[in-house]
Amino acid sequence: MSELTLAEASEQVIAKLSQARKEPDWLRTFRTKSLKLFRELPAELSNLYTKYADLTGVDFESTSLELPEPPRADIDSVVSKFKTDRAITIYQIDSKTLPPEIPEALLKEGVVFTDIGTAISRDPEYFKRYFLEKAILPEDDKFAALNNALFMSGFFLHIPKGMEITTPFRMVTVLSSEGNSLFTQNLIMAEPRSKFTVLEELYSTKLTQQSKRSTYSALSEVYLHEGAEVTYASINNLASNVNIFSNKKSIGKRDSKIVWSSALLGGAYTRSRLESVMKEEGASSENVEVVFGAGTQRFDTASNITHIGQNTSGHAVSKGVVKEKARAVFKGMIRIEKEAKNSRAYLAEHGMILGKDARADAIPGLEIETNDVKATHSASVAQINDEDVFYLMSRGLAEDDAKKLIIVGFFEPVVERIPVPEVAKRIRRIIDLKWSGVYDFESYLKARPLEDEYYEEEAHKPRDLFEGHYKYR
Amino acid sequence: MATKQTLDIDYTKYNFRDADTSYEYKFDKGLTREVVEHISRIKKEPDWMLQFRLRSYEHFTKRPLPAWGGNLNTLKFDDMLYYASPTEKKSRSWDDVPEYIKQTFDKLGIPEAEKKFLGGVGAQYESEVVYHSLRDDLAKKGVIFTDTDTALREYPELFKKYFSTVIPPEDNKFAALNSAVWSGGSFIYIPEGVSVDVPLQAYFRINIQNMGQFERTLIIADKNSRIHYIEGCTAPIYSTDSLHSAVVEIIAKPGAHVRYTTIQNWSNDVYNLVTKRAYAYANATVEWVDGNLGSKLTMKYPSIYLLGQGAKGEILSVAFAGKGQHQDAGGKVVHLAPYTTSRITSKSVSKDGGRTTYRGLLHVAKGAKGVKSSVRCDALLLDEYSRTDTYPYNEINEDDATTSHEATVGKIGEDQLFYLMSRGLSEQDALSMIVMGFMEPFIKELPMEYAIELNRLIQLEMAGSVG
Repeated sequence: MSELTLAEASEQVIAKLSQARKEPDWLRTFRTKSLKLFRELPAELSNLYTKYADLTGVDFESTSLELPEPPRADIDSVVSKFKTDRAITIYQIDSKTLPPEIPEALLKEGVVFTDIGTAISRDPEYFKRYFLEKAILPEDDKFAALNNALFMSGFFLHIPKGMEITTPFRMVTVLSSEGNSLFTQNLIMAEPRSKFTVLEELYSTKLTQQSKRSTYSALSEVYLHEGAEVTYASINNLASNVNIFSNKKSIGKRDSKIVWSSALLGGAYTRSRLESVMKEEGASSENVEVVFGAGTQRFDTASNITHIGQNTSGHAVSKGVVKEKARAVFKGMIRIEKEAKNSRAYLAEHGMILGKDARADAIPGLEIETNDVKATHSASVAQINDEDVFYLMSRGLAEDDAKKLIIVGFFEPVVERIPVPEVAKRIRRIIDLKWSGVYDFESYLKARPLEDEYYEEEAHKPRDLFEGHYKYR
Repeated sequence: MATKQTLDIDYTKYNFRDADTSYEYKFDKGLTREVVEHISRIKKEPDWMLQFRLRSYEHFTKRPLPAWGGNLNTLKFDDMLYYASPTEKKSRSWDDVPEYIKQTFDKLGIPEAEKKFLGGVGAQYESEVVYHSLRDDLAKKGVIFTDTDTALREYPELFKKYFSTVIPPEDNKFAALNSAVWSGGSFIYIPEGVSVDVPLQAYFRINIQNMGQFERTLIIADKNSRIHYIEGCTAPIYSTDSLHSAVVEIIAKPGAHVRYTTIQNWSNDVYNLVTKRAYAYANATVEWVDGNLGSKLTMKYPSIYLLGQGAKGEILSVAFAGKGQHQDAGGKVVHLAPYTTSRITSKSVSKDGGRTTYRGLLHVAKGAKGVKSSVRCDALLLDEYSRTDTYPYNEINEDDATTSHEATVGKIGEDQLFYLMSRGLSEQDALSMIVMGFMEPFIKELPMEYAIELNRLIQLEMAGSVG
């Protein structure tokens, strides 16, 4: 297969991709339009952030557009490492998607959990309409446009009216090849009063060619109908040679609730955009996001809250630790529109800088167009508290262990929200190892779970981060 | 609560224009190279200043308007007057000031203020400073307080050494514009160890329609000196827009303490686009106290560069946006040295569709160890038509900095209103009281008579706000 790079993405490439996937014409037109927008749009649409749009190191010339077929990794061995019966899992290993095993009972009720290509071919008329008015349009963002042009995988999840499902729906993505790109688009439809959890995990297998950059792009959209409640947890631990572009957005109707939690740990350059739109009365959203940067990693995250309906509430917390030469920019915007009376919003960005060459920028913005609201935001940058270290050391911990424990605790608000206990454990272990300077995949899998030392197995309720906050009283 | 709010600033005190406007020089509208050369010729400036003006003019013509901030589309550079001088020579004695200008400043209370309280006063009318005085004892100590044009003539070396070192013309489009056509402003030099215990004051007034005022202020506080400078700004209301684009540079040498207070109450047709920046060397303190009540659009972000160990910066910014107003204000602090501290406090009130924006920058450079900084901005929205935005930029490049930022936006609590009304206050008074309480941290920083004046202004702004 000829090595076609991302920089060479063209109408012909899209035609080929679309043909191979036997897609309808309208989708091909949509992809072509998106590609055009990708070329035209600036890296940041809002001039508030132009200064921070830094794409050096994002090298499309040397990233291949195609994935090896079949995947380089041994599928069975990869799957066995991530297998759990506590979730319904779709595996996506390079270009290969393994369909999930969905219990009969759920299928009978009308639950759909499948890869996006299959979903589109099953009901093209529905998707034709959907692509015209989807939450993340190619016009919205340069890299959302790129994804809309080139997406080749992802899942479609549809939960019917009134269904409450405790078992999480899970997608595990493993990249085993270097120098390639993967474009994923996920779509979640929550019918009225449905209640369920989604877990997304991203890993790379052991690095062989450090110098080659890969591109991973994901676009996730969640539609919540009246009274629906969705929890969406994601863990990103791709290898240090992957450039990551992520766009997530939810649209919440009346009395719906979305809870996002994301751990951004891997990648060379990560660009994350997340927006919760509270479109109708009573909708609410929570977003908790943690970043752990080390080495030369760079993170550019935005967490936006948009209030359109009355009596809506939105919360977001971004926390980050940067060490060595890592850099992070935390952006966020609370937007309260004219009709959104009696809304409440809270946005916080907290950074911990642990290296002489590390850097963190925070830009928590507010745009408020009506008065009957309460909106607060805060940002802080600090170090590990010496007193905390002293306390733990006085209890017999070595200095490094004490600091490690504090760092693991710093991330706990997100980790404890991960719905599958063994995944939560793995994340703690990843943070623990990352603190010690170990970044490779095999070590994570082999390592003894940290819980044996610090945590009890029993599941506990995640702490309340927002309602009990002093600014809310 | 049915709050039909009809609030206009009561400009009766300020909204008088002088009929007898006979000017020594008054140019045609618009800015050309010839205008710049002409201004320099009238002022009999040295060649380097002419070259500086021309360089600035070139940059101004090339530089695009900022893409962010307020709406500048209605600002017509070609309709502006760039220079007008009402009288040829500066007066030291109040009696020498032409009668019509005297009336103007009498109405504003300038000489009375001087008698009572101030160490020195300067008053600028259109482009030229018309009146300047300094208390004798201060002059004897070597304090220089004069207008900037005189300083260029009388203290050429001191002037050339510091002029435009803090804000080069290339800094932004409006700094370039000011550098090209600047006229007037204050020049202050405080010698080493001298403490000026009473404030120095300047008053700026625009009187002609479509006038642009471009004063240039330079304050040099030598080692361990101390100074408080106050400026006030007003203009009558015209139907077309005026432009005020000042440049203020402060140099605080080691151990110096400089406070700069601005009460800006331009009428609602003035674009107020000002560049203010201070350098603070080791253990120096710079404080900007910035009150923005008037103008159509203000874009002003006083900044402090902390250049020496232990330097301290404080910015207190208050904005009040009524109908048709946009106050895009804030502050910037750049920490470039270890153990520097800073605090930014911003308070804003929007009503009747007014818009306030806080735009701030906190930058901690590499090597600036042990920095401590806190930023706080609070916004109050008095009705559902108004808008407020907050854009704080925090850039931290050093691992042992401690910074915090907090902002809140809210409306007046009905329970607070109810409480005050239950104690017998009218709704109007209760509302005023709450807004004043909100502004308290700012008012506390002002000298007595300014605090009274500001309280009165806020009360005026609040008048008729509940119906």
